[in-house]
Amino acid sequence: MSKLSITELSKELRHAIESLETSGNLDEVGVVLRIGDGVAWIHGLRAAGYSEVVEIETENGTVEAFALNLMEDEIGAVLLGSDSEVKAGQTVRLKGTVLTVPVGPELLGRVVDPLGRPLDGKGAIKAKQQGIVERNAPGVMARKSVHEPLMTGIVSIDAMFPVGRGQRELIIGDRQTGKTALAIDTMINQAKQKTGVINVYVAIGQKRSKVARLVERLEREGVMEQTIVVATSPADPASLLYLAPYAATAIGEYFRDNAQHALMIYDDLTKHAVAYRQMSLLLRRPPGREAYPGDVFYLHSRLLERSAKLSDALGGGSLTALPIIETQAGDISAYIPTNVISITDGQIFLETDLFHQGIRPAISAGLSVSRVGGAAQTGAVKSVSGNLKLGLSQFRELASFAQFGSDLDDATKQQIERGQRLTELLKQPQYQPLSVWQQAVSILFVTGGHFDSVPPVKVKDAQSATLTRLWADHKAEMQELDKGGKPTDELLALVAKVAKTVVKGFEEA
Amino acid sequence: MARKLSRRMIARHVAERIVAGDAHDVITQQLAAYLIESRRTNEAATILRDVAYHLAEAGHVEAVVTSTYALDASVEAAIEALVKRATDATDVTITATLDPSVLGGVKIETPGHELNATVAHKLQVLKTRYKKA
Repeated sequence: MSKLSITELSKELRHAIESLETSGNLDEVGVVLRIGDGVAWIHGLRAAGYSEVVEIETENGTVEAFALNLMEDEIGAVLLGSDSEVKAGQTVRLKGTVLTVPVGPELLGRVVDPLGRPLDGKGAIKAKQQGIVERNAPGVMARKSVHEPLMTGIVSIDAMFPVGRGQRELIIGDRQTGKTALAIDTMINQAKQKTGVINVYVAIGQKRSKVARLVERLEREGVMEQTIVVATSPADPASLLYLAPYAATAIGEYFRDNAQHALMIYDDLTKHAVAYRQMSLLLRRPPGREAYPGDVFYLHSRLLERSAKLSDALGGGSLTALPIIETQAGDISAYIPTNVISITDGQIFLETDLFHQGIRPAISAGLSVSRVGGAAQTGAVKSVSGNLKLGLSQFRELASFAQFGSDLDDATKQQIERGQRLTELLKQPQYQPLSVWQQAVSILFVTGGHFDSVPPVKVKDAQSATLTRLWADHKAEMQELDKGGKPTDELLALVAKVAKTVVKGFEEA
Repeated sequence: MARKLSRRMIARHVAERIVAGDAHDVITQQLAAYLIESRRTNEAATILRDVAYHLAEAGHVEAVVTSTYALDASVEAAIEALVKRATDATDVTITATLDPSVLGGVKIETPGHELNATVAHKLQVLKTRYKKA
């Protein structure tokens, strides 16, 4: 505990009282007409702007709200706190500002709510700057095309659906298919590979126990120092769930605008849309498809448009987004999934069937795509993964035919066998992201045919053994490859030679 | 069925008639009859508040001044001048009320505006500020 000084305290108090001087001007005020379900209907405040903050004077201090419905006779304002103190007839004051949130490096390693209030018990956050929660996205001239890789450390993603800095790549799938796990691995990889990318994880209506587990894991992996968690739980008002991604984006934008790179993880936007639907229905806006309001597309498009790669003139910083969407029974043609698919620059679709077959990460090669990441892919991985996606998709189709037991020609058999090995190779345990050289040579083991004699069940062991041998005996070459350049012919020959030696111990008897 | 009139339209009509010099008892009687007939009596207070807004726009402002002790003539004149300056009103009516719970200072309420310079309000703001910190 800091030293308690009554003299200091009294000085502070006197200063606080002095700072409360009355300006002598009349403030614009209104009156609460009705209150219920976290929405206050206010009479007056004709000068209120959209999304402007108002303060309701209750018996125990003020409660903040923000104006969302500006109508002829009244204003609908969504409360940012509990509505238990708010009563009809109370005075409402215009604050004269829109919502802001503290931003800056002081937030690193902290868990905060969407208003920037600490939730981790580590004391007050002394941020020097405030960021506007609802801010416009950068314009066309402020941007640059995505060209730098954002390595996730997950072989199947970095090889087949690469993500670039400034890209928006959707992670979509049913519940319990490993969506959050992919996001966590990506965050861990930023710390392990020392990429300098700042992680901002937004938990929208996630159970507090889940957030606590996540934070504990990130601390254990040493990632928390470069991570900010913005958390809301199902017990929070819908207004906070609605604000969470916007507030977190404002926090991420600070790094983007200061020539740094940040990664946003929105977990998940389905719950965000549901919170917005709740607010809209309570504000009596007309319901549309699935009872969502008409502007639910704009809800997510204006959010994700803020993720961008900035031009060199603006420092070249970037904000990459990995929004998460939860589907019901694999239906990606539902309202919110189709909206977010069309907004983002690609999607990683996780299949329940694959997950239950033990293929994890359960990425569907056919339904996943990265529209802009190809330009940002690391040379080392790009050079070895040319036909990987096509090969894997063909294998999964052929494998389903092969189940009928019909005779297959040699070429098809070889394709199936290689596909089986590739599938095994792309399996990756959680919290173990791979570096660039590990990914490049691992893919080479299968696509180069070095593992053709290894039975599929032993592929992972053979991969691990070969990687260990390569690192032990040829560290300098592997470090060179890790820089991301295209592997030389000599290096390819070296990998082939080492693989050939190691796999002898794994061949079928 | 007749279209439901918005509160603002009703208030504007009433304010225009008051400014035109129509008898108050006739206006209130007609308004009461309309509210009862359209089952909108619960909106009476809000409509009157809107009427005050419209009258203020027309330059007729009623300022309700709350204080612990009775105001002397010079303070009342100062408040009238302040309200005139702040609202661009041509005609200001001061309605003084005494309320010991404000502890000290003065609160001036005009339609849609307020100047709360009471000790009770300052303490409330201080309480909220320290609660947030």
